[in-house]
Amino acid sequence: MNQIQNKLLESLKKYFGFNQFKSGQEETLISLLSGYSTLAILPTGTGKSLCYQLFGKMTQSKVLVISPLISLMQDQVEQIKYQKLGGAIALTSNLTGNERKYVLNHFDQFQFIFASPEILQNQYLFNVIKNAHIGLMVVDEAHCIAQWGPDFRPDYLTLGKIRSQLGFPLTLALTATATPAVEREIQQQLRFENNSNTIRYSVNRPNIFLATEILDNQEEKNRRLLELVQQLKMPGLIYFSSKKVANEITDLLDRKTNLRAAAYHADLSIEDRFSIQHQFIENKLDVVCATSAFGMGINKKDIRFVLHYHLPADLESYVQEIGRAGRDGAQSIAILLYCPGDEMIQQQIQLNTLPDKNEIQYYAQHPKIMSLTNDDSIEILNSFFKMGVSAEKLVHFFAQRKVHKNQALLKVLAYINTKECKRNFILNYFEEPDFIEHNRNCCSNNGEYDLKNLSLEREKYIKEHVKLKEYPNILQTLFNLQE
Amino acid sequence: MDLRLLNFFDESQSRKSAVIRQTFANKKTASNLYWALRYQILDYLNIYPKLNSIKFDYEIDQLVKKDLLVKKENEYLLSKKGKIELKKYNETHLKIEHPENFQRVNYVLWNAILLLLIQTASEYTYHNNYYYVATDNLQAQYLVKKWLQHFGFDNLVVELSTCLKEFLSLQEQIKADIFANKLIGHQQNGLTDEQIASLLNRESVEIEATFKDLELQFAIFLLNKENHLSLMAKQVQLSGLITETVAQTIRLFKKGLTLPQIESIRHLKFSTITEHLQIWALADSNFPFDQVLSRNEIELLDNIYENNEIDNWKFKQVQAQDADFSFYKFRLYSIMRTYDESNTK
Repeated sequence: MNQIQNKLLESLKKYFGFNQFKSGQEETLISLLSGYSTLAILPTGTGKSLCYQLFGKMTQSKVLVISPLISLMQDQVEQIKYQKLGGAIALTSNLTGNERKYVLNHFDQFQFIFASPEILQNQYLFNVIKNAHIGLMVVDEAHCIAQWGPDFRPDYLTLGKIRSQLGFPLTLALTATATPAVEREIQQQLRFENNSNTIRYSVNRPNIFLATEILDNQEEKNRRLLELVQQLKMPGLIYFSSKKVANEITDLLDRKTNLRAAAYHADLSIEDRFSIQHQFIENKLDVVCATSAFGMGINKKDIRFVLHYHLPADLESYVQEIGRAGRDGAQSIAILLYCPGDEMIQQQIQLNTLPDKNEIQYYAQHPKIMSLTNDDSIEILNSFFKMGVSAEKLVHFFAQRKVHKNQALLKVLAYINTKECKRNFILNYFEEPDFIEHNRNCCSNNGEYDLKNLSLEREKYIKEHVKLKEYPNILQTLFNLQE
Repeated sequence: MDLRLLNFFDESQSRKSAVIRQTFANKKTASNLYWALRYQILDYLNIYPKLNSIKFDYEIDQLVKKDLLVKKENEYLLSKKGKIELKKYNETHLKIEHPENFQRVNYVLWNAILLLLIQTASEYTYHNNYYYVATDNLQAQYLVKKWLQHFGFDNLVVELSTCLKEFLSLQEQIKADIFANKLIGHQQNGLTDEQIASLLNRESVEIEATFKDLELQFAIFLLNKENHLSLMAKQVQLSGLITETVAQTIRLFKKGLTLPQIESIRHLKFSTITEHLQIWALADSNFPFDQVLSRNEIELLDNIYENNEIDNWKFKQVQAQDADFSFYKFRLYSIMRTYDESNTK
């Protein structure tokens, strides 16, 4: 073991209390510490954020993290604060004028700065960041740069320019899923130097059993869902595309099972979100029925199953979401329940999120109206207009995008319908060269799997259900008061 | 279907749903406020600042489909069936008792501050430094930090626990329990609205309303205390209808300046100044109507509108007799008579 590896292990122990790195972390850190910009393609659950957190601590330098989602940024900020790694701030459009003023006046206090690409368009703020001397620029979810990729964010196209304006700082691009074509596009867009490194690990998570089940209709799906959750080892996550259905199924689980379930989505208050996340972490909830708003910055390692009640938009999202399972390395399972017609929900979401020709032309003529809406598709349009892209080009772009989204959805359907090995199907999708040998602990079609054999059968145990307490008792416990 | 909405409709006065929606969402134009006064829902201003209008309109449609509301052109009346359902609903459900507090306190900021104060005090009493902070609201974090730098953790624990105990002892037991069960602190993750609702066999909207109501009432409770925490509550106080710009106009008016003089000093449009007067009149029934409306003007208006329902008054009626008559005077007269009407009821 060389000197740098020793130093890395020492720091890992000091700042995080771990004795060893997970796959890819050490190689990424060595590459960065050697001064090379790095693209790290590491599967979900391998602790990608530790790479830049540890780099920041070891080099005592400022780290700028560009992230596409506010919820992701907030989760990361909470995590860094919890671990007391240093000052962290998320610069987002959610900040009020006063908050932004405070942050800019106390910028020295923050070592980890999270920002969305659009907020960096603010020249004053950008200059503050530039003058702060960024030691490492991190592009989180770097696959969002890929124009034809499912999660494309037009603002990500400005990141190469931002990097150049910052004087080409050392850069780490992170993603869990990138085909070789996306890999090239990330390097190109970020204007990576010729000596930059790519560290790639397979998307495969061998400890997650892959299953799909085709049901005749929604009633059948609900019946199967109820059956499954009563057989499966807890805790688990169920993903939905609709807040309303997430609420309805939580209600169903409450009525028909003795499971402790809660729905989690963007409509909840901040205190309810906190309560659900922390009850789940402390195993006071068995199941969370979530939409993609469920941030897992707060890490829970022992999730035994991830069930999809609705179709994911594409295999990239699917791999990300099932990656919440089995982060402790123990056997876990991902089950996708499908019934004919489910694809219509995704198609409807596509319709709602991709502006059509008329909308594009209307907004091109009435740009002021765009600032009055907070619709996602309109925000994307607004970003394009700000970048000077013409309405004509956008009509073509969004028409193409619709085709690509549809193709991505067809791939999910193909994944469900394939009679071949599902794991190899995914590896093939991500153009990974090494195929794995299928065995009975790998995957299955149509419910043909043995939970007992997978050690995923639910054990019988008595759970403590939540109880309403009287307020004097709560105050006594809250403030550690003597009786 | 949201039966709570029936509270905002009347059997005899047909009402525009847009006025109700805009009142919830804090639309403070003189026109919207006037109709909110006419509908007697002014206390509900700002109760749902981020109200989704599509969802609101959908709920109204549902109430119409169930014959609980009757649609009359663009307005709605509470049906007989609706009145019965509403009575039943109100007898069995918890609701917000002090909606007016939403105009007095910045709810979003206070919610974040209160969560943070309770969590910080709780963790401190257990000597724990490692915990996930309950809110990422930076302004709240900054204000709490600043308060702690001035007054310290021990003061926080003593004042907060004492005030909460006293405040909750003044509430109905069920409401105090709902409030307390949602609090987050050391090894207490709090219960969600759904969990509490399910334990009490109630609806989660009742739990949400009760928690918000008590959070705001607690802010007002602290404002009336003379302790260090009341300083924190002052940070979230809102001016209500009388914003600083309206207050400036009022100060000048009270000094005896004429409206054109105020217009010129404040470099504002005449219509803005008269809008300020209307807002003042809407916020305060003791508005000096006689200083704006002359005896002759009142007499003229009395003659035209006497024996007519206020809601049916049309400005063009007075215009027909005096083409130069100002709209704001007509509106102030309507406000004055609305107060007279409610005093005689």
